[in-house]
Amino acid sequence: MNVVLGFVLIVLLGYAGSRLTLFQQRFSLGVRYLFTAGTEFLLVGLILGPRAANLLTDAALHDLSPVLSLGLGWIGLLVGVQFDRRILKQIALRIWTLAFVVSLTSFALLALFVYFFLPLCFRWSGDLGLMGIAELENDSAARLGAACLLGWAGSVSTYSAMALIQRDSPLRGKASKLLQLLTDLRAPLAVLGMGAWYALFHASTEAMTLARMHNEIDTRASVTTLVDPVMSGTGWLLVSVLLGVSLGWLLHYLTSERLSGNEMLLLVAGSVIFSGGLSSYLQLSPLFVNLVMGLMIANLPNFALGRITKSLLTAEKPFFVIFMILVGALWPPITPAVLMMAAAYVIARAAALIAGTWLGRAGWPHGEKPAPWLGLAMLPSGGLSIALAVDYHLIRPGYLANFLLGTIILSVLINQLIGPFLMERVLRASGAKTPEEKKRAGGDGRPAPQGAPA
Amino acid sequence: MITRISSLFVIIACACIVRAYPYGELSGVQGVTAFSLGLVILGGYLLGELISLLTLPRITGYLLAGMLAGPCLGGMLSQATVKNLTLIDQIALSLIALSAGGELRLDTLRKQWKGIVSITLSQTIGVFVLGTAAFALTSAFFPFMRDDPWTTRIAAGLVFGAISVAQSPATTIALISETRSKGVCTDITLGTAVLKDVMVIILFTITLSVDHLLELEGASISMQPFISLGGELLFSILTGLATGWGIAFFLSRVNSDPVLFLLAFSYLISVGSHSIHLDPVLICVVAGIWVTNTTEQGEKLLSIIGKGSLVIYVIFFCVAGAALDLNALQTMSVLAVLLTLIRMALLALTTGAGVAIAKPPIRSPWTYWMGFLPQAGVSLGLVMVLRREAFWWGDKMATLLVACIALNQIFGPILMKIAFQQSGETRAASNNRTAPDEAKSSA
Repeated sequence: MNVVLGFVLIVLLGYAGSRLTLFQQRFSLGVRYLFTAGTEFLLVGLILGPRAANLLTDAALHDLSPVLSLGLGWIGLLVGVQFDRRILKQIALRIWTLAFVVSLTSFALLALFVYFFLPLCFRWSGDLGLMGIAELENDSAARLGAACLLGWAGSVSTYSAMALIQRDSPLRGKASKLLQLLTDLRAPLAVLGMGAWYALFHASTEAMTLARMHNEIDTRASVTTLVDPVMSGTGWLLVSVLLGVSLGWLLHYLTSERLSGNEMLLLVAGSVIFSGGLSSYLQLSPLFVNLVMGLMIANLPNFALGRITKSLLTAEKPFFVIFMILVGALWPPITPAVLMMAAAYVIARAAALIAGTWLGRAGWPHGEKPAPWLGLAMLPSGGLSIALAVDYHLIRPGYLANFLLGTIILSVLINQLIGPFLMERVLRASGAKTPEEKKRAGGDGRPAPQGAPA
Repeated sequence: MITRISSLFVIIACACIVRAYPYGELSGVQGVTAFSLGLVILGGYLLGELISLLTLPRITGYLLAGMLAGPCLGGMLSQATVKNLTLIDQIALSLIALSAGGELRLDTLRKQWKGIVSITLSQTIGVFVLGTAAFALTSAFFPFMRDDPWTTRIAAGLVFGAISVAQSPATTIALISETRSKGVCTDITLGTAVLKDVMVIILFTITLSVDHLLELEGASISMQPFISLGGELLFSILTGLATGWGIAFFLSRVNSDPVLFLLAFSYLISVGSHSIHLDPVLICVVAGIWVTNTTEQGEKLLSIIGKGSLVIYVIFFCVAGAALDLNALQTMSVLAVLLTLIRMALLALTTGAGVAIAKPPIRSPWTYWMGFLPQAGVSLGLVMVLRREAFWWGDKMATLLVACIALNQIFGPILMKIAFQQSGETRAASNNRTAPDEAKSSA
């Protein structure tokens, strides 16, 4: 019965989706973006998941969990393969600097904010969950992890809102190109930063994390005696890098022969899921390891690089959609603490991005300085932020991970609602114009010939 | 070849080193299952490629990889992990069944209907009757049945006879796809495999009812199992028709993200059919037949599944290999070999009879029977049903049957490939990849 209901629900969702597409011009830019950026599948997942239709049961989510690894690995590899040194060399140093400064400043400000606000958020909301406030205040590693995650997740953004804006009014200008470069360049920093944190503060060296995994919060002493650190944090970081390098080399080696499309897809999917699984098993970040793998593939001489990227892009949408649906099904309940944190986080993130841009433009020549409000155009966030949250959820499961996943999903949705509008405004303020506007502005004042479009 | 051997070595080394990490299991099911799935995909593919150099079918390599990594041998995949991979395996099976149905063109089958019907009937009746008799006669030498009355031996023999009829449509379609076979032999084998898939379920239900009469005191013939079986088959076919219509409608009208749609469809069939007691393989086969024969979307459907077919086959056969109960084979090896040889002989005999009646234009009638040996999911499913029954000999018999199925699953594809090669319907370059052409065109 449940299945039949679920099927009817899917049909209705499909129908609603098609109607929405037909009438989408009537909705605001933000609402349209929310329903076209891929995050709509989070809502589909929520509806299909155990908390609503239960078509995706807990057992099914358990069995489909490798797909989460696959999704994370796919995102990591896609980010990595874009970093071909031959292409990167062509980017001006000041753009690199701006990207680094925006990324690091926004991360630092957000992380600081979260580190201090997190206990307050729990205290004010009265939402103690499984974790007592005293416990959280004393557990600096957990707070640091949460701060790092929200910091790095807030430092990245997505450029896909631009496509929607361009569809309405094709804005052209330096700012839109700069925005795309800044988005691309900041993505690996967040993945590498978070990956390094998982390695340096490895779960096996932290008794509390292991205790939390087993819901044995009160038995810290006994768990500590159970856990002998396997190696130091630096050792784990080295293992992460080595894993990425060796598996990247393996994929490069395997794809250096001529292969059919079917074989290429198998090798890429198999490598991604293998490396994702290995890193999850070692409690390291699948995103990080696959990013390193992607960097290796992009920078080793490989005639199949184009075909690997093509394979990745061809299968990207199905995997991404399934990933989002599963994340939607895993979406934890929205508690007062999540609501409070998400609201504060959205505001803090906007401020941090503006501050980062403001600082980063300092080195630019006077006439070419980007607009001070460019940070606001970086508000739309999406897949990568959610992937970072899922990464944390898989490596450090527990109450805090649920809280952080809920916060990030909610903030992504809010940013998707307001982001495109602000992005359009900022681009216009930076002088971006549609070809028609350029034509009009550059015209000689004579009236347009009859029949010309207005 | 060196690339593949060294890569396989690196993967296994990686897996072994990482498995030594003492707290890996704490990462939860996600890490272990994903790691195992990746190992299965890469290891299975590489072993399949290496095996193909020996002119053996690639799926034998996939099965072997699963067996080597599985709980009975290598232990890299635990019993729990194999169980966790079941859903992904079922999704793969649904896609294989959909593609099997899609390959069945009614106009071609109409030309070969005589061959399909005569071989199906002669195999079903012949293997069932003679298999039952052979088991009843030989079981006098089986340690666990030596002192039993004839009724018990016949009851167990009926089960053996019914399960011996079963053939794996999944292996058949995978091998046809691998060898790119085309022709009379291929059409009849595929048609027979699909038809026997339905026949064997009916036969097994009848068998269990007769067994109840023979073995359980106070049992009487009840129509209930037949009514529910009839309902199950009818609703499976109707669901298959409806879903076939739905797929064709989607592909012709919507056609947005068809890969995603087919994955969602397979998931729904895999999960849904079990909860409402329908046969997922039958639903998918019927849906595929509908799409290919009543709409113009058949080619599109096959092409979409074809793009990911290698991943599907590798996952399906590796998991099947890992799930093989090799311990059962070890404990019952002599009896299993004996019964497998009996099944082979009966299949050879009855296939010969079917060919003699219908006289299809087959080039190699003497080796054609080898195409009907592989067994997999359906047979194992029937064994599970037997285990749930109250026969005292049920468990021992089930272990013996699992051992026989394991042998058929290991050697079946090899012999099937020989049958296809002998029929002259495989592509000459079946062992060479088409990649050079594809690579050239993409370059």
